[in-house]
Amino acid sequence: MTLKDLLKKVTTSQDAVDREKLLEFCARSGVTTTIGAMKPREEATVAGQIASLRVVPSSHGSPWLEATVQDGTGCLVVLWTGRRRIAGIRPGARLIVTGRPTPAGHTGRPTLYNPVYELLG
Amino acid sequence: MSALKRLLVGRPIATEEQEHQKIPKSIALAVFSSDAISSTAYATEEILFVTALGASSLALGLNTLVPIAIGVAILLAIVVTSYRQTIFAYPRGGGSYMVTKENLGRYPSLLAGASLLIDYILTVAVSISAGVAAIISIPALQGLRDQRVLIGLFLIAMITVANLRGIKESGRVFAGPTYVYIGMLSLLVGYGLFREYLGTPLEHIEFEPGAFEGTLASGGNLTLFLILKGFSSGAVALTGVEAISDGVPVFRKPEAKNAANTLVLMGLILGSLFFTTSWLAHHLKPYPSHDETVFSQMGRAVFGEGPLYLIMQVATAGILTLAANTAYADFPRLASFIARDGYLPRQFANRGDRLVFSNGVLFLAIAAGALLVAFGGKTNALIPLYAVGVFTSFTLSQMGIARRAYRLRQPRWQLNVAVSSFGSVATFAVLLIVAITKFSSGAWLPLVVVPAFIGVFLLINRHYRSLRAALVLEPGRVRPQAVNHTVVVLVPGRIHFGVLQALQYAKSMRPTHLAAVHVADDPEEMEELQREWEERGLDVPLDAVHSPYRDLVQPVLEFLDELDARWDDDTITVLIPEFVVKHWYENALHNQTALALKLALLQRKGTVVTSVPYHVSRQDRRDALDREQADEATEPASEAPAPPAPVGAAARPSANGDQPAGEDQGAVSGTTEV
Repeated sequence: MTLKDLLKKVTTSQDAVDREKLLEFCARSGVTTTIGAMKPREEATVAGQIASLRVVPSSHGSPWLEATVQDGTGCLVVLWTGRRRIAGIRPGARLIVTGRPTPAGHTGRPTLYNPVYELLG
Repeated sequence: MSALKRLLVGRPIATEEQEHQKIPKSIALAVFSSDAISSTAYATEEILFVTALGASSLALGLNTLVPIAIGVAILLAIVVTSYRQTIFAYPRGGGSYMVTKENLGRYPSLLAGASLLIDYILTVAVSISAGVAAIISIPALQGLRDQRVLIGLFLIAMITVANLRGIKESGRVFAGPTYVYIGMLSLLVGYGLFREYLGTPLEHIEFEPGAFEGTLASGGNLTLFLILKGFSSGAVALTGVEAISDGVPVFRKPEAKNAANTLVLMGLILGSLFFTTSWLAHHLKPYPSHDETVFSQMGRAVFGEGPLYLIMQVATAGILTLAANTAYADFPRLASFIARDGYLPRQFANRGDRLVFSNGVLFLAIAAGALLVAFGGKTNALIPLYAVGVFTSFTLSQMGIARRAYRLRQPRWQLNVAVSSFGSVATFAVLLIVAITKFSSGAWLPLVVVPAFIGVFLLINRHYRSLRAALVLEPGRVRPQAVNHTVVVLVPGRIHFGVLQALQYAKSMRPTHLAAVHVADDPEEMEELQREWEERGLDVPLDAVHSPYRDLVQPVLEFLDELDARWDDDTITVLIPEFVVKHWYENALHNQTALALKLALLQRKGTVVTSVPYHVSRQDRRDALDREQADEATEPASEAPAPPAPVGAAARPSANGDQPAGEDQGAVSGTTEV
């Protein structure tokens, strides 16, 4: 490792390092585009990591599960209606989703409803 | 902690209790002149340190004493005459800073202010170490000679505590040592000179080469440069002359006239004492040394080592301590003026609960203590710095008075302008002499330190002004928009009563968006939490945030950033449910992550942080423990059908009636988890 590399290593924020890694990982996962480049109502396959997972209780009607997925280029909400829990869907999990995103609506972000998903190891 | 403070400092004094005490001339003389008159205790010695050090022999140095003393006395007369004008011009008290600010403007006043602040710090350091020198000169106390720093720090601590209590106007304390000192010194020179000229001459002080701190080579000349350098040292005798002009309002009526007369009297005492002691020193031939002061040598030669000598030494230490004390009155007051003008932190302008400017007092104590330690209790090295500051403020103040007299053109203004201008020129000349002759031995330091102080003043001022400008309410400025309000409740790994309270509070704020957020570093704990959330029927969405590094702060910040990006104009309120324990040491048992989070969130724009406290009393905790034990005891017996009411709760009705239909009534009662 050269001195320049070392310098880069200690001066880059952990944030940037993580982002870089995630971008790389997603690119290798057979996706068609990145989250940042998705267009509303156009089918796409993207990969990302769940930054936070929201359980919306049934007192709001029927329950749903809402995952905020990031790939380093943008943010997408993936929403499963009628579910409180899905095995393997937890904060930090990585997954591939395919679907047509709606424009930012009540979730405040482009949203995929009940998409096809595949958990990545 | 507060009990200790009460013991040291005393009970608080209300603003209305402030006393405005007027003091008679006899006491005022003691109060204000201790600084000036005490400088006689080291001025003679300082001259000898320079002239005897530089010249090849002590005898040559001693010969310069009387001429230099005459020079200093003339200078003193000029300054006293000039400062009488200040007293009449500013009967409400005119420190150099105020006079300069009103008459010469901003930058000169900052120069005067910086010089004076530094001077007051030096006054404390120099006076205290001179006082310590007087004590350890006593032969019986020789053993303390290596402890001079400690003794000095102890004295500073005593004065500091006294000033935090506020003894500013308790003048009677001052009168004793000052008058004893004046009396003993008069006796010393009176008796000494009498013996020298009319009785049996005194024996000369035996020279001890070991203790002498100069060069002993023979031959060589005492140059004009060295004489001027000695004069610069002697000029420190003038320090403290300005004290009376600062304190005119304290005098009885007619204030200005009384103050002016006191000033003249002080000048006479100071001048004659300084002159006569130098004269006596010329005869007795003391030598400069760090082990025994010149005064102590003279005292022993004249009085022997009897009680008179001891009284003199103690009075010397006493007046020097009081001199340090005057700086404790002046520094905080000057700092408060400068702070009020926005050139020092505001805290300096606040009076503490004993009505003194506590922050100024503490700052002075720390600065002077640091100097004392840094110089090992031998502060001769600081005296050039001291002289530069004194003469800078003398010069500026008199210039200001001359300018004022010229501007106002009152009767006899020509005379006033002439007196003040002459005084100003004379002190400026001395300033130049000090700066040039002592440049290499420390006088260059003020050239660095004073501009640095002024630079800090200006930076502080810029900060305050820009802040005020940014906060000002201009008529055209739009009001803050109504905002979307997002409330986020931070949820720890378990739901406890404090969390429920925080959720209720969050709802009462009626936010646009409401969420509970849990930082998930343990997947099992998270799932447990989600299950319990559901079972309790809590109707707030629960977010679990990914924390790859088991950290709390960073994931929360990222989560908030994400929320912020979703909606415009958002104000985010973060509610942190917190236990409040009864005793501070119990905090050690709870991790203080909330504190780190609060600090980080304070830096975040558009974010409000609220602690929702949950007080747990000792009684609550004891009851809960009893209940738990009772549950455990009865559990095996009543296993199958859970009784509708908790078993052991009879001792005290529990206050947790808000739970929605808790079916699961297991061992964990949910509300008492700490």
